[in-house]
Amino acid sequence: MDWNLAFLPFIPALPFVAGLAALFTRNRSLASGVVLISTLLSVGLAIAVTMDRNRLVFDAELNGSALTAGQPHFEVGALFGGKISSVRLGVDGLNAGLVLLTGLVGALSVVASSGLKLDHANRYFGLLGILIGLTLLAFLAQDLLVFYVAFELTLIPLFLLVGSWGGPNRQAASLKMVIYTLAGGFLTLLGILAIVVQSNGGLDFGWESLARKAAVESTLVAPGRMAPGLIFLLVCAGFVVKIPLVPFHSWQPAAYAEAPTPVTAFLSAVLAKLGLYGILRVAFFLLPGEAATLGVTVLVPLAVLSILYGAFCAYGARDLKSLLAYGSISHLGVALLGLLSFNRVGVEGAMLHMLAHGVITAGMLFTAGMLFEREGTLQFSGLGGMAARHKLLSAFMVLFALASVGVPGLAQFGGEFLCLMGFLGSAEYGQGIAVAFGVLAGIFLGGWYTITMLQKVLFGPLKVHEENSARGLGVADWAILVPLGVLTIVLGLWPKPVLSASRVESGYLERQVQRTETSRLASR
Amino acid sequence: MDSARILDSCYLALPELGMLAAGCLFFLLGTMIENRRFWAVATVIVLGLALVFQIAEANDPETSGNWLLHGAATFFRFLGPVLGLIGTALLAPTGSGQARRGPEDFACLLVACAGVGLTGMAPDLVVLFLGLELVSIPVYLLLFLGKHDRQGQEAAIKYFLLSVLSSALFLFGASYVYGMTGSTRLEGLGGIHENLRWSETAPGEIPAARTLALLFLLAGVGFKITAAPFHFYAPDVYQGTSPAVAGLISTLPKAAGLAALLRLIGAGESALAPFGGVEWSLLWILAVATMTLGNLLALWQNNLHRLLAYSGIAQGGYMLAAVSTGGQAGIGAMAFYLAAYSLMTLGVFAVLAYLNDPDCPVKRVDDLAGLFRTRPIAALCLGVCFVGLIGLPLTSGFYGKLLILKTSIASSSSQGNSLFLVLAFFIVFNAAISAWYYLGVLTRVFLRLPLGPQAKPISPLPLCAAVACSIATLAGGIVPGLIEPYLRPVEKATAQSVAVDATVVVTANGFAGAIEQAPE
Amino acid sequence: MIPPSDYPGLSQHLLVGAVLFCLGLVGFLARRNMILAFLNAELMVQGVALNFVAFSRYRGNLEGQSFVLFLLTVAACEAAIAMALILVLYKNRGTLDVSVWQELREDSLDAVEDTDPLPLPAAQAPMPPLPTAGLGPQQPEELSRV
Repeated sequence: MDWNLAFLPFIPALPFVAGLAALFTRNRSLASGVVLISTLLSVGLAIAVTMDRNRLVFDAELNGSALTAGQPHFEVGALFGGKISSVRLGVDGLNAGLVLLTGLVGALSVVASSGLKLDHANRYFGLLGILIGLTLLAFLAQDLLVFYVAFELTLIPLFLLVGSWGGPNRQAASLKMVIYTLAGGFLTLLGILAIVVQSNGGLDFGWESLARKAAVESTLVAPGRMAPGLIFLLVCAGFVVKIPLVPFHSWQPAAYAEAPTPVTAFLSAVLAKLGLYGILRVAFFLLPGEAATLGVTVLVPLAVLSILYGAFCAYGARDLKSLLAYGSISHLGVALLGLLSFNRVGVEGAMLHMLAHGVITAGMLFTAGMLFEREGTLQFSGLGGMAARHKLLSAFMVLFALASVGVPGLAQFGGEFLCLMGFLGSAEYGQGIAVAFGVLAGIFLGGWYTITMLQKVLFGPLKVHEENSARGLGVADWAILVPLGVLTIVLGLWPKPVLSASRVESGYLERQVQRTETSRLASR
Repeated sequence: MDSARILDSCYLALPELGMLAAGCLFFLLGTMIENRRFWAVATVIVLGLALVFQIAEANDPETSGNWLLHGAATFFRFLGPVLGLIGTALLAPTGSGQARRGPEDFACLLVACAGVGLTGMAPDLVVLFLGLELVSIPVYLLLFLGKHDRQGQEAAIKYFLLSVLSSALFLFGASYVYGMTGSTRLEGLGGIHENLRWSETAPGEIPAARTLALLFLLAGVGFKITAAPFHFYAPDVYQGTSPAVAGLISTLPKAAGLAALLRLIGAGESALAPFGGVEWSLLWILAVATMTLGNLLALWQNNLHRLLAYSGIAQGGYMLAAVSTGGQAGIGAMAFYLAAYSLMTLGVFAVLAYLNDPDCPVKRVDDLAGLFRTRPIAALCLGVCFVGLIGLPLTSGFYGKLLILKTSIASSSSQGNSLFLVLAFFIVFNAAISAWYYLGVLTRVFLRLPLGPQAKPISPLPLCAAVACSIATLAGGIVPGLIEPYLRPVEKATAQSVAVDATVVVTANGFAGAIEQAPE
Repeated sequence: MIPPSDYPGLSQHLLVGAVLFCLGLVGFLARRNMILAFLNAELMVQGVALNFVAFSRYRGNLEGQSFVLFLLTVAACEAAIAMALILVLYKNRGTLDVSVWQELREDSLDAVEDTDPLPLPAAQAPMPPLPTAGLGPQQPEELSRV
């Protein structure tokens, strides 16, 4: 074990413990400071561990690579008495980028919350810290039980954050969000248990050993065993609600609109990715055979539907936050298509797309939050001509908007392009054409509603005439916008590190899917 | 039977007999000493001694004597006093309006705890019946003592009449079991097929009388567990009584009912095909109906006690589901879930008992609005217990559901019967439905502002009980490894008792054969 | 010991037991008088007792008869509680009719009312409340004149 692997458990534990501590402080700035510093520390640790991992992967590739060769691991065996599950954490190509994204967006949400008017601010920051810690734990878990526990537990701080500090309809929105996610989550639990019990009979939740067995096990059918197709659908249920895909999305606009803007940013930039990540790690890696057949049949239509429906709804949205919420549904559909290609191009593209979307959507939401602080509204009817009043803010907003449209050279272009290319590379001809038309229509609509939004908000006659609202960007605002802006440009110009990070895993998935395909053909 | 063996048996059942004797003593001496604090302390001492005896004796499990002291029995003998200790904390404070001084309710509590233990270790239908009655009869008294208004009296008479009916049903089934086996010993239950000669049945066929007897026995036990067609009294009774008594009714009779169920079907297991027997399909139907009906009806409730009653019905369905999977693991899962459920529900009722103030009663769900602002510790306890009842991770409720789901998936694939997968689906859907009403309560507790004047708690004791229950709930979810070893004997020993039963069946056959040849 | 097959009267006894049980069940469900409802439940138990005794003779052992002894004891115990409870309820409402006790029910349900209600007896003077334990009931002091 490498020396800095011992730091792995500290990555989720630092914000979590800081959050718990912040619950008991009286002082707002102390609470936010503790959470912010601990989150930044865990970002630092995550960077160190990721660098180390890249070195190990490089060594492993020289010796002929396996799935998780050189994957840093940290095990705490004693927590569950060694009986049920040991807490296994690790960084691999699937989660390295997302862990960094979580830390970054989490820290920026804490900074962005400093301008909010909050009752019991210590509790707010405490819960935010707990949420960040649990999300990091979910991404780092190499063990299905720990993953599921963290995945479900994020609901408790979210429930309280949205329900206590949100907009006027916050209670209904937060209740709806939790019930939708919980219902899906219970189905996922059943699916995960079915995988675990049927593949090893006991309760060994370790992801790596399950993934190694996957290709053999997923084709086994016997009376009384749950059919692999059913397991696949069950596992996906919880994640599909979390992303969300279209028929299961109705909690999302209300929750995004009612939540405090920094929480919305975290929800959209990070927690939505948790759904995609869960589909990839649990459903695709553990059931590759089903993913390639049933997954494509069921999820591709849902993805295309989400792309189109999200885009149309975003076009009809009346305020900035719900526009971004629906736009998020639309963009994540493209990432799911990339994952569904099961080849290296598509999966790597999807990983890039997830990161880029996280950065851009966080940027959009943070700028929206700053706009709300200054103007007091996010309704399009109340905004207009902001470019003249908030010049720098508008510049950043234009940058993020152009990136989300998919302008080449900015972050999102590469991801979208690779996702589509990967999918077309693996899809059958007719399906590929149909999907391509759907996606292109979605991207076109995306351009339309985003540019329309810019026009409504930034240009045209000034609708509000209060002079005092025109203030420049403060230190906190710069601290939020500059890193996100820089990342938007850097990811667009130099996406190679992100793409190559998941090379081993995406190659493994591609091989697994091909192997089950050939064995299925051979058995016929 | 010589006197030495009788003394031995008495020694083995010492905690239960001690609790019974103490209960009787309380009734007698209650007229002389009116200091309630004294009686509360005495109750705690008796229950504590019972627990200490259990712990001291738990190391050498004996199957000798007249008792079946296997793991499941040990579990129920522990559970009774533990629930009793929490119940004492709930019952101890007296309201200003009702000047209760005597120790009758503590005496009832002691007798009921003894009843749970006796039911769990019953070797015989007679003891099983007496154990169940020892839980029921004190509960009538508790219901009557708990509240003196009309609602309390109505609850008492409802529970009383239906409970008498349920014991009559149970006895009818028991009489036929005796007729078929020729013995009231529970080990003999497995030999029903072989010993049955007074009705003409082809070998291997299940005789109608056996199905009838099982139906009646299940109905009798179902009243105690509040299983689906026999659940209807529960909401009314809970609504009419005080939170402390409602908490006890939601746990002690349920534990006794499940203990009786285990004794009845656990003892007969060796003679049954895994899902071929009538029991398993009956239990399966009972489980599904119970959880679904309980959860659906709970959705419409505004009254907290009614809501908790339906929640208890539904949770009983999960436990029945665990039993219906038929294996030893299922029984272990049931035991874990029963303990978890009892502590979570008692925790909720403890908070309600803490807030029980005649001036501003907490009856409707809305009365809890803003509790977190006014009484954060009580609200947190309520939060932990409800989150556990939903089945969110890091609570014992989650781990219990995990065990039940795991058992049903495992027995489905090992027996090749997809009905257990359907059962797992029902559990999952029901868990999702139940989240709706539990979260409704939590929304009011944590997100709303207080509506009116807040209750002024009389005594901090129930709050201490609630904190203890919450800590236990969290501990059961975070480190189930600590508790799991204690479930091993439950599972293993049931297997043992099955082995014992098999030998008894063999001897019974030999005996019957001897009779058959004798007249010629 | 009587061999099982030498007891031809078994089915008749079981039949009587079952009839008693069913009569009790029907009476329990149909009667509105609390005492009669309880007595019907007792009738069910007596049917069961008959079953036990018959089976005991059929099986040629005493276990069934000893069960009956326990059963009767428990029934007596329940009867004592029943009478006390019913007396309290009677004092409260002045009637033994169970249908006056309808306060506990679902919110959405209305109370079931008779189309042709029975006349309620005239209210009686309240009896002194019994404390649960300890103190004797406080009676109005009786003034004696010689």
